[in-house]
Amino acid sequence: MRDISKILCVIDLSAETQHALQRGAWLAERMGAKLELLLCYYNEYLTDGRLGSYPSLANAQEEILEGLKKRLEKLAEPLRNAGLSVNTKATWDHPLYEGIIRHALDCDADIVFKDTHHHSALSRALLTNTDWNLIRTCPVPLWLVKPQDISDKPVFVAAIDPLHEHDKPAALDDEILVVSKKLAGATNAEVRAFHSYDPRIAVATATANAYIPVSLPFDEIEKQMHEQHEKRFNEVVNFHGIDENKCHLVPGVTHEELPEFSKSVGADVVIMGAVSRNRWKRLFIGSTAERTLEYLPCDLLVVKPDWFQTPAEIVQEKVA
Amino acid sequence: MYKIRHILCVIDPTVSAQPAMQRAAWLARKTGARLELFICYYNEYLSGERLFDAPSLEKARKEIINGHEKRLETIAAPLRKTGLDVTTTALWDHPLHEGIVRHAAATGADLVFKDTHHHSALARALLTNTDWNLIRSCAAPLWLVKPGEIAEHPVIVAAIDPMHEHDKPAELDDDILDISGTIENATGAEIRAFHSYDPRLAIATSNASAYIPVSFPFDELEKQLVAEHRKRFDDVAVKHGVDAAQLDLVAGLAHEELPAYCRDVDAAVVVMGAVSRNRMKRLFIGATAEQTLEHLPCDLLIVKPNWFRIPGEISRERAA
Repeated sequence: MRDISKILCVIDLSAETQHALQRGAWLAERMGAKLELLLCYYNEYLTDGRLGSYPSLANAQEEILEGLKKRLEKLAEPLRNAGLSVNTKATWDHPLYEGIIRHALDCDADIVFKDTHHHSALSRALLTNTDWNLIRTCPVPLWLVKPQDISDKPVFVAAIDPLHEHDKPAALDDEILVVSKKLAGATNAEVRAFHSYDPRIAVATATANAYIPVSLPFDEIEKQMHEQHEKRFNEVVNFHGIDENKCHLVPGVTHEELPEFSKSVGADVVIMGAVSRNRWKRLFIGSTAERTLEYLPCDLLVVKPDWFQTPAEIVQEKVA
Repeated sequence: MYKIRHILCVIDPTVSAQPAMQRAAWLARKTGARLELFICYYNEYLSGERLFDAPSLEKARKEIINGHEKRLETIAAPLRKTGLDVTTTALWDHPLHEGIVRHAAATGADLVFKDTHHHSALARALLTNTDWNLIRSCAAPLWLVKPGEIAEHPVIVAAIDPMHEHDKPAELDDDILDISGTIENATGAEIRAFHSYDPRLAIATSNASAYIPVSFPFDELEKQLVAEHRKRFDDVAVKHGVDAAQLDLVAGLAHEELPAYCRDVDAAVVVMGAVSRNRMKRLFIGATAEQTLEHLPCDLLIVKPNWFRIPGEISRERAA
């Protein structure tokens, strides 16, 4: 990964508390990074000459952006007083997630912070259409912040997949662990590595594999699968120097086990991949990732694999 | 009049309660339409796309699909006893929303039903990534069902936009009122046509300009705005034979006013559009629609404009 020298925080002025800004500032302070506050605004009434008969329209966009910029400056002021280097930007763009990505590319951001919501009684994340689209298409690490404080000694859970069972290349596991360690090093956090596999499916897949004789008893196959997962998992975590007592290989379904595990270790952030490609190289959010993301109890840091490229149309089409 | 002959109902094989199936069966009974129960299943471990394919993997996929077929037949049996024409289909396809969109198009479904979730304390719909993708890309009208019985004389809110302020063409209003009328006739429902406009916008717009003299008649401007909206709204309603008593023109923001209105009139379902195109003809969910959909307290029926085409890559790429 690149060094984190610029942190982009997406600001939502309708929210009472700017959690993403708090978390972004927290990281900026610890990494000595610059902070960029972004407000991406769009109003369909004031676009494309609709209501064109009103002569004031020409200036409306500009004046609205000026007003928003002033409000961003107000948010920036106390951070600057605290010694942070803060830039502000109000931009007219749509849809929101594309505006965020375009500005992240423009300002050369290394990580993006955005608020998200969580409902504890339901134990599920309330991800919006914008969140899902960012998860799918944001080219730099995306940190979705829950409305809660981060602990003094945060726990980072790096969710890796060493058998690449979810179409993820090995390089992604390295990226996840490198990012986790780098952030943890700067923030006094501990890194735990997590991997789960579904024993039932593992067995079904194994019996499809010519190397394992079908005549083996079920328990035997399951044991072999466990050993195989354990071996690869250990290789990856050893390579990255994660302590043995912080490595967790769990049999079970990821979308159940990872949220459960995150709760049990008091995780502050889960770092994971989310996108897959199909045979036609089209990007989508994997079905396991989709279900897992909805149930995580903490912040989420989504990392892209090295083959990832921002969809060209997002890079090109800025809204007028 | 929109004809409903074939209803496609998406069944979630991981849960026991099937609110979408109940609602779809209700409408099938009222309209005499054929009801197709549909499971779209995929498991990345058993897919031949990953690693290698093998006869035993293919066998495993077949067995799972057969299992789902049997399950669908069990659900269909009691419905058939009550006189409904019910067929069942289980398919291996991925991602889920694309599998649904492809199957609906291939079978010429007139209406697609799917479960969604709603949290009353939060007063918001919990739309998943799959739901958002269906809202964006399903060509047939999409009915997202929240758990619960439908009233004997349900209220249908047709949310129209006669000034086409949200990039929607006039024909979409016709389509919305057309399908609402079909449901009204079949079920004894009551239609209410709703349209909102933002009065502050006119003020904000004029206010933003330096060219407007201080003496600018804001009241005049708002009066003109209301008159324009009123006339267009009435024209559309008259064309579709909606009584004046069932028309509600509301001043305010759609994403605040429409949910509040639906609670007031105890709406069972809101019929509305959701997608827009940008200048490059790329599809997305409009900013107003996105905010509104999350806050609706009832079922949603999303109707596509007549320029809508299923994205080319979805219609072509069936998963292996």
